[in-house]
Amino acid sequence: MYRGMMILLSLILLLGQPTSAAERNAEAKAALEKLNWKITVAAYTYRNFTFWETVEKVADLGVDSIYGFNFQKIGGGLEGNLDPAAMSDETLAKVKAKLDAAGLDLVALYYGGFPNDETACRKIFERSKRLGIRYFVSEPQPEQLPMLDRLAQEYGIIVGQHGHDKKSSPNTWHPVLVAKECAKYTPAIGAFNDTGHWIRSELEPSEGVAILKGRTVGFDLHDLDTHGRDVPLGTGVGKIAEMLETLAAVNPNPVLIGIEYNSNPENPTPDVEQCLAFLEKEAVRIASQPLKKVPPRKKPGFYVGAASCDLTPERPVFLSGQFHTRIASEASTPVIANVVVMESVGEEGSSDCVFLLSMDTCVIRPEFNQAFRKAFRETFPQWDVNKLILSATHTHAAPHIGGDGYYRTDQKEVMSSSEYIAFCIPRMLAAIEKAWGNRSAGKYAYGLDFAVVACNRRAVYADGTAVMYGNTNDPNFRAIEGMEDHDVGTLFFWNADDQLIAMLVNVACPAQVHGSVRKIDADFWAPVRTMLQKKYGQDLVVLGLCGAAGDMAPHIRYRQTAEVRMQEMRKLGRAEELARRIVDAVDQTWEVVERTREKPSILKNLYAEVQLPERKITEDDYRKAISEAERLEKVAAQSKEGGAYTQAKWHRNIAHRWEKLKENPNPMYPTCIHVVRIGDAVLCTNQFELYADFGVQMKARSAAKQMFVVQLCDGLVGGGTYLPSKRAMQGGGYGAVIQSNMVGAEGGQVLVEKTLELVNQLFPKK
Amino acid sequence: MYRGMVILGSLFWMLGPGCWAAETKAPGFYVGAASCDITPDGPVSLAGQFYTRISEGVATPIMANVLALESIAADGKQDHAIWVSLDIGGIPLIFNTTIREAFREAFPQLDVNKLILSATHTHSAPLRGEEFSEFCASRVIPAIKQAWESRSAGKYAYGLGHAVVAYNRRAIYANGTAVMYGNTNSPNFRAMEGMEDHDVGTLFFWNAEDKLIAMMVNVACPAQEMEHSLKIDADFWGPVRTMLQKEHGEDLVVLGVCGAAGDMSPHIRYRKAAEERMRALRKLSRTEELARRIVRAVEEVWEVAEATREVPSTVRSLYQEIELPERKITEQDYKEAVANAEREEKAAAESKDGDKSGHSGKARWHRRIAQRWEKLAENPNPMYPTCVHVVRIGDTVLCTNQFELYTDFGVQMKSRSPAKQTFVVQLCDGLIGGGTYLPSERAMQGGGYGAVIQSNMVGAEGGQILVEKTLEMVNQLFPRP
Repeated sequence: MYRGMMILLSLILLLGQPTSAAERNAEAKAALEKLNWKITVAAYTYRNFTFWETVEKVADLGVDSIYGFNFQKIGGGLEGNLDPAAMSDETLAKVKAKLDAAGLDLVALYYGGFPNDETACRKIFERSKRLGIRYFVSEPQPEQLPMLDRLAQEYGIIVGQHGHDKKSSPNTWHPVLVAKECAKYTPAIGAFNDTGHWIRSELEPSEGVAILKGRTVGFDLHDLDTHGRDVPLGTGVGKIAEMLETLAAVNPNPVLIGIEYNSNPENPTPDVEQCLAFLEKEAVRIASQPLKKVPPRKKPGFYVGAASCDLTPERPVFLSGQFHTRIASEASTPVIANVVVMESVGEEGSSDCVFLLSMDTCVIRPEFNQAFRKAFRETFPQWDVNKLILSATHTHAAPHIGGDGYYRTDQKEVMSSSEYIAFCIPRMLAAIEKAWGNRSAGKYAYGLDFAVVACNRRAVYADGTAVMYGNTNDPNFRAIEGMEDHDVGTLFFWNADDQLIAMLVNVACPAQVHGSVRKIDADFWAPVRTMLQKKYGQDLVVLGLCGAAGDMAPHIRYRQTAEVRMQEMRKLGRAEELARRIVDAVDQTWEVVERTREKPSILKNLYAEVQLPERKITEDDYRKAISEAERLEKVAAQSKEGGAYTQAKWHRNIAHRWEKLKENPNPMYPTCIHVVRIGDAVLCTNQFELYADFGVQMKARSAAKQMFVVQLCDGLVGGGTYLPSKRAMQGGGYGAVIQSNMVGAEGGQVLVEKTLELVNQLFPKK
Repeated sequence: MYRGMVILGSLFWMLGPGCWAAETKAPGFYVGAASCDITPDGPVSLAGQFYTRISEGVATPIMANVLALESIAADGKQDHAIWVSLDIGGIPLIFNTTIREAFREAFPQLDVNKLILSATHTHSAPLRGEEFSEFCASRVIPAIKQAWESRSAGKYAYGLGHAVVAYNRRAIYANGTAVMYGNTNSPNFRAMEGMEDHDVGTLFFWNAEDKLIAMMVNVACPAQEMEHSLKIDADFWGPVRTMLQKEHGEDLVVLGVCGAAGDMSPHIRYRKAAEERMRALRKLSRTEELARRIVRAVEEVWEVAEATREVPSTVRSLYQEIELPERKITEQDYKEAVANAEREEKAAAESKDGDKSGHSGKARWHRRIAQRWEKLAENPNPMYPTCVHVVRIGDTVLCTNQFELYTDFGVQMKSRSPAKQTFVVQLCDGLIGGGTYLPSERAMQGGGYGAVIQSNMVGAEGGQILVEKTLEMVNQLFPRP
C-alpha cells in the first residue's frame, strides 16, 4: 500500500503541471494562435555572424522562422548579401535549401530602401516570394507607398514601415505619422514597430500600439535599460508586458513579433532564450484573461485641471521661519497646497505636461523635496518627475518641513518634521491625481496689474551699511537700498465647461506679515483666496506664487502712521489690507483679460540643472563666524529657548564651508530651474530668496509677452537661502552676509543668464 | 466830506478787499479754491527738451489751480497759505519774480512768502520768457483773488493710497555707471538705481456748504509722458482732472503736486510688452492709463477718508530761506565741459536741420560749468540760496523745495516727519533759479544725466542739508508734547 501511494504521488507530481518543453510550448503555441501572434528571431541579433551561421543558431532556439536583413553576408561559401534581387538563381536555391534543412521559414526581410523603379521593385518582390518571405520591413518614402501597396497585394507580401529616430526617419519615427500613412492604403501596408527606437525617443510602446490599432503588422521588439542598452524583454523600462496587453486589446490581426537583441552580439543566445520565454509566458497570461480596456486617446489641445488639499495638522507642530522654536497648537487659517496640472496634446499624442504646486510653507526644504519626488516617482511612474514644480509662499507660520532636530522641544506630542512631511505627501499626491483626473480641454488668459504690497526691507545708512528692518526714522538713514516690484501677474484657467477653475497669482512679496506668531497661518494668501473664491466661485483653486523678493517684506518700513491709519479706517488687519490690494489688482486684470481667453498656442515645460559659483568665504568671515558660534553655543547651553542654538548652527555652517574650501577652492552650488511656456507667457523658477534686482533683470530681458518669476521653488541640494544683489553684498546685513548666502551676486548673474537661455529656447527669434 | 472820502479810500487801498474778510471772520479754518486756464493762444516754444519745439495746437489745456487756506486762532492770530499748482515745467526765476511782484501788488495784506508755486513738470507747456510769465500772472492773480475771496469755513480730510505711476529711470550697469533711460534689455543691465515712491497722498477740502471744492493730489512722478509732443499738454494731469471732476463735480479744483521724483519718469522702463498689452486692451493712451491709476488711488482714499472730514486743528505756513553748499566743480569737470561745449557749438553751427537735435541748448548746458568754475576762483565754497515752505494742515504737513529732488530725499523726509502724513512737493518756487536736479549720493557715483555736474547746482551733501532744514521746520510745527 505504501508503495502504491508513492507511485500515485509521483504521478500527481509529474502530471500536476506541464513539465516538458513540449508541453510548455504547446500551451504557448495555443495562446499565440489565439492571439494571432507569431514569434520569430531577427537575424540582426546575430549580425556578427553570416546568415549561414545565423540560421543554425536560430534553429537551435527551437523556433520555426527567421527574420533576415538584406545587408547580412550570406556565408556558407556563397558570395554576396542576403538580397534576393542581387542573388543568382543558384544562390537563391541554396539559401532556400539551407532554410528548409534547418526547418526555418524566412518569414520576413529587412529591406531598408526600395528603388523607385517599379520594374526593379517587382524583381525584389518576385524573388523574395520564391524564398517564402511574407513581410518586408522597410522605410519607404511616402511617394513609393502607392507602388508598394500594389506590389504587396499582388505578391502577398506585407510591407511594414519601420522607423529609427526622428532625425533619421522623419516619416516613420512616430506611430502617429505611420498610422496616418497606413490609413491611406490597404492592409498590405502596415507598421513594423521598433520598440527600441520608440523608447529612446521617449515614446511609450503601449501608447504607440494604441495609436496604430490594427495597422501593426510586426515588431522589432526590444526592451532597454535606463542607459538605452538592450536587456531581456520584461526587465527594462519599456513596459513590454503592458504593451502586449494593449496589442491584444486593439489588434486582432496577425502580428509578427521579431525578437531583435542588440546586446552581447558575440553570444546573444542566452538572452534571446530569456526573451522567448518571456513572450511565451506573456502570451499564455494574456490569452487566458479578458482583454484590457484601452481608453480612447485625447484630442489634440490644451488640458488643465486643478485641485487643492488641506495640510493643516491636528497635532502641535514646529513652525518654520525663525531661529527660535515656536510650537503651534492651533491654526488661524488653514495651510493649503494648491495644484494646477496642464497637458499639451498634439497630433502625436501627449507632448508635454506641468504639475505646479503652491504650498503654504516657508521653504521647500531638501528633506521634503527629496521625499516628495521619490513618492511622486513611485506613485506616478508614467510621469517625468522633472515636470513637477513645488513652490513655497514663504509663510513663516507653517509647519517645518526640514530635517528633524532643527527645532527642539521636550513636548512629546509635538509632530516632528518627518512626521509632518509624511502627513503632507499623500494628501498632495492625491490632489495631483485629482487635478490630473479632472483635467479637460481648457483655455487661459493672463494679465498684469499692480499692488503696493512689498517694501524693500533694507535701509542704507550714511556709512554705507545696510540693515534689514533698519530704523528709517534716524538722521543717519539715507535710502531704501533698492526698488520694489509691485507687479501682480495673474494667469486664469478655464475648463471645458468654460468654468474658471484656477488662478496663478504672482506677487513679489513673501507672505510673512505674521512672521512671529505661534499659530498656523497662511498669511495674506488666506484672505486672498477667500476673497477670490467669494467672487469667482468657492471651488476656485488659487496658487499664490512669490516673485523675486529676497530683499522684500510686507512690513511697512517708513511713513507707518499714514499707512496704518488707512488700514484702521478700513477696519482691516495688515494681512487683510494686503489681500485687499492684491485682489483689487486681480479684479482689475480680470475685467480686461477675461474676454481674451483662448487655448494657449503652446505649452512647454523645460527643466535644467545648473551649477552656480558659491559665494567665497574669506578667512575673516571664518574667524568671525567661529567666534560668534562659540558665543551663541554658550548662550544656548544656558537657555531652553533654542534660538541661540539654531543661530549658532547658522554661524558654524561657515566653518564647514571654509574647511571644504581646502579640498575645493572653487565650489559650485547645484540647483535647478524650471521654465514653463504657456502661450505668450512664461514662468521661471529658482530655489532662492532671490533679490528683486535679479527678477527685474529677467523680466527686462525676457522674450515672452509677460514673465512670471517665482522664487523659493524646489532645488537640488538645498532650499531657500538668500541670493543677494551686488549692492546688498556691499551693504552687508542679514540676508546679504556670508551666513545668509550659499550663492552671491556672481552666481545670481549666472542664474539670470541660464534662465534667459531657457526662456529663449522657448521663444526662438523669428 | 472830501477828507473823509480820502481817508476811506486810503483805508480801502491799504487794507484791500481781503482785509474785510479778516476783520470779520471768526476763529476757524477757511478754504477757497479756483482755477484758470493758462493756455496761450497761438504757437509757443515748449520747454523741456534741449531742442526747440514750437507748438502745433493744444492736446489738453494747461491750468493753474489755486488753493487758499486761512486759519484764525482763538487769540486772533492768523495764518494763511496760497498754493498755486501750475501745468508747467518748473518755476524759473523770471516766472517766480513776475508772479510774486503781481501778488504783492494785488494782495498787499497777504504775505508773499505764504505764496507757494508748484510745477507739475509737464514738458509740453511754455515756460521761459517774460511774455509767458506776464500772461500767466494776468490769469493767476485773478484766480488767487477768486480763491481767497470765496474762502469759507471749511473742512478737510486726507489719506494715503498707492498707484504705480513712476519708474526709476536710471538703469545701472555692470561697470557701475548709471544711464537715464538706459536700455534694460541688455546683458550688462544690473538694476534700477533706486526705489520708486508709489504713494498717492490726497487732501480733500469742503466749503461751508459741505461741498467738496478742492483736492490736492501728490504723486511722486513728473508729468512728462508726452515730453516730445508738439502740442500743449497738461500730460496725465489733464485726464486726472477730467475724471475727478466727472465723479466729484465739474467745479472741483484739482491741484496736482509732484513729489520728490528727480530720478523718476512715467515712461515704462522694462517689461514694456506686458504693460502695453494691458493698456491696449483697455483702449487707453498712456496718459489716460496713468490717470486711471491715480484716480483709482484717490477714489480708494475717498471711500474711507470722506467720513473723517473735520476742521483741521491748525493751519500754519512757514517759509525759510536757506543756503545749500553748491556741488563742487573739479578741474576735470571744467575741462570736460569746455570740450563738450565746443563740440556742441560746432555741431550747432554745422547743423542743417535748424538745430533740431538741440546742440545749442546742450552747449549752453556745458558752458555753464565753465562759468561756475571761473566763479570758484572768487569763492571756493559757493552756497546756493533757496527756500522751503512747510505748511501744516491739521495732522498733515506739506513741504516744498525748488529742485527735481531725487526720491531718496523725499523718503527720508517722510520717514522722519512727525506728521501723520507728509506730502513732499518738488519743483516749487526758489530764490534764484528753478528746477535743477538734486541727486542722491549713489546717483552721483553712477553719473549720467541728472547726476552729472551739468545737471546739478547742489549735490547730495546739499540735499542732506535740505532734508535736515525741512525737518527742523516740520518739527517746529509739530512740537513734541
